[in-house]
Amino acid sequence: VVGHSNSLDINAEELTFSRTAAGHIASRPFMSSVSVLQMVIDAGSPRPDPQGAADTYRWDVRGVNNNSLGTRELVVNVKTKTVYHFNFVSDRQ
Amino acid sequence: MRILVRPNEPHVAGTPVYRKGEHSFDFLPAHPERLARAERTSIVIGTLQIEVAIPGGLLLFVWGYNPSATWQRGVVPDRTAAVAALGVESEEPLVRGVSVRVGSSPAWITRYDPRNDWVGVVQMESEAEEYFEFATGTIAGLNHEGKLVELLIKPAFLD
Repeated sequence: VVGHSNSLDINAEELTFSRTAAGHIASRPFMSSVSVLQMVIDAGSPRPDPQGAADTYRWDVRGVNNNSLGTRELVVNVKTKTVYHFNFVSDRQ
Repeated sequence: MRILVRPNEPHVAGTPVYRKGEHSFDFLPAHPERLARAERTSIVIGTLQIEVAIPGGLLLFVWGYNPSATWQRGVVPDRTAAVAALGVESEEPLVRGVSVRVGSSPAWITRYDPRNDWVGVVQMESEAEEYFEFATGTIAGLNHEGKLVELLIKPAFLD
């Protein structure tokens, strides 16, 4: 994937999901894909979580899922290497 | 996107929780075997998700990331709500793993009322006319057009 540099040096294989997020992976196959996770990390420019959690960064990366255009949203605590949020949100409302 | 009452469906029993260490809501269903896991998506307010069954669009429960650091302390009134199942009516079909945003304008804010432990996710400048408890401790406030304008959650707070 050609994209922005992975400025936080995050490796998807090192990440674990929060208990909450892990409990919903079964109904969201993309969440269990390490390659998709790494693609988001490498393609996006992380910013400090706008919702203000400490040590937490957010990525928003444009993409396609199940033929829908939208945005992959990823929120990671980079200190504990924990994924709090990983979702794909369609452009349509 | 409109929300409609589903008179022939049961509401979802369980316990809403807030995991403080994960900054996240979750829901512990009383009968998890009754909730089909494979076919789901969600409608979302920011990073907060209302889980939806596919097909049919039945609203199941609320979960997702919502840091309490952003919550405003304020009054979240105890609402009288009818216990009822709710479904989402969408112009386009719901797709597994593809979330759909509830209207983002006007903005939504989250309020926490320490007197009663209700958390209210409320769309500014909007007013709910009817309230429905579609899952235990989880109330949807709908406006006159059937649009979701309030989401009220009374979670058990976990570390």
